[in-house]
Amino acid sequence: MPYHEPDPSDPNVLVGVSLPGDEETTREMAISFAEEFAFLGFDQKHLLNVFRTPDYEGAHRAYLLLGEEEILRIIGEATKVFGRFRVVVHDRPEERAETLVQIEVGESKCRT
Amino acid sequence: MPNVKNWQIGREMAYPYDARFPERQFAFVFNINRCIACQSCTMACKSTWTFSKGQEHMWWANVETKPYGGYPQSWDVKILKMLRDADPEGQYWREKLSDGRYAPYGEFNGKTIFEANDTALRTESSRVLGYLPTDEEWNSPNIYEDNPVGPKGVRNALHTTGTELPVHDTWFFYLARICNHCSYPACLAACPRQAIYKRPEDGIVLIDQEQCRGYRKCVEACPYKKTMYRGNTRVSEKCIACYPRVEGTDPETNGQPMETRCMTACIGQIRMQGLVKVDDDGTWAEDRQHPLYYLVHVAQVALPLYPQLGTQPNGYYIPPRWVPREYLEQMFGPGVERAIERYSHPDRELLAVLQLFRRSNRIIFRYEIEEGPLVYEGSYRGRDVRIYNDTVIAFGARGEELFRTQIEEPLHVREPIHANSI
Repeated sequence: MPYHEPDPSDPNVLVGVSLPGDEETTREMAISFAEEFAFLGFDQKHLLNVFRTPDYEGAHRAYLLLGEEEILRIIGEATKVFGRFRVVVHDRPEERAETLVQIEVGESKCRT
Repeated sequence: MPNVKNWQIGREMAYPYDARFPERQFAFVFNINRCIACQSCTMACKSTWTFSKGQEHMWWANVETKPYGGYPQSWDVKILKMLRDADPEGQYWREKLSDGRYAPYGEFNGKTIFEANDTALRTESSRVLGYLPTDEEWNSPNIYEDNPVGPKGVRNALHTTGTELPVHDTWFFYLARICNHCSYPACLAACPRQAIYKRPEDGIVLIDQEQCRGYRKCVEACPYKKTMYRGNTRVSEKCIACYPRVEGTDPETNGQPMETRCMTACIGQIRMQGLVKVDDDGTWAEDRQHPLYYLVHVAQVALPLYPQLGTQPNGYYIPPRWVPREYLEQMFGPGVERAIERYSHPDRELLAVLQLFRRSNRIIFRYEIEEGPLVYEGSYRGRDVRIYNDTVIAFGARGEELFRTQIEEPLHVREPIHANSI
């Protein structure tokens, strides 16, 4: 989003080219985000926040175009299947480096 | 010019040097379906490697909004146009998808950037078709893209209604990019001083700063525009694949191979990076239980970025499901429809391997799946879905277990106050 109105004499100005999509494209994008974030452990409330927040342009544009009701339906459908589980990760305990050196702090023994 | 074998375009092609392949190759898979352009990767890289004077314009890792965004601006449109001008009728694939490790996307009929140089109007010294971006194209990595900005002259404030632009029925997606550490690097091919080299142990492409004289032939040649010129030192610089981490020599790694800064910073968990085994002919050696090998060669859901350019890039992308296929096929080759179909309806193993993304910062060299019970069966968008509680175990360089993942159904315990409220 530029600060100023586009200046046609600026050779660097954006030249817009229409790349038409349709409602289905937007819906497919919203479904993808809902599924992916349900997989990541987002619940319905957090997922809806992603769509409601204007900073996440992709998700938010789908929210504006499709409406909250449709977004809620999509989120509900995705979380019903993919959001019912959470992934549990068991890390192997960290190894201590073999070359760890203990630095002792003490009085300086320098002589003048 | 010698002929080399390029498995991604399914044929031999001309390249200025004989083919030489590393023992293992630095490679990565990005899942575009998950990227929300938070730019954490971009900033992780910037704050580690390019924060100094003279590097202001350098973003070794960046995320751009496709189709209209690009860093430098229009990098892909420009090189594709140059190729089309050099070979107006021929830039297409002879589509015959296969499951083999060689030519899985069919054969590219057209000219690569190494071959098109012969017919394009170029100076004699240039070995690769390319162009030098202007300062304006470099200096604003996300100009006119959808990044929120604040009111003019007000610090630390954002417009709360960032999307009050005209809403148009269109599509877009976020493309995260770093250097592809190509198997046939255009930067290396173009350097008149042979200052660029590919490391035999991991295939990482580096510029020898002492040899470089800043001719910028590499900047001109790299079709992905991932080598950059630094004005105050008068030499070029590029992504170094965080090699101290990949080697395990960075103090944080504890001696074990660790993924790069941009990978580990990814909050959307779209990224996985590894070191794949390479055969003598440059194809990936069969390594069935390597997660990247599985995603690229078995499930075939991850595809190279603009394979037709001919550099055999080692960055792979799971394409976004909602984008028109013609555009995606231009960007990722003819394997797009197959990749999206398989990704949209993942089988049991793919679902398990996708759980490996960003569960650890250590590089995964092998995975195993311990099959568990069926925990959910139902339909979703007209298809049957089965979810199993499989355990996915990841192993590191020495064969040691790194971590294991499972799924579990959360248990909700009724609070004591409601214990007998039924």
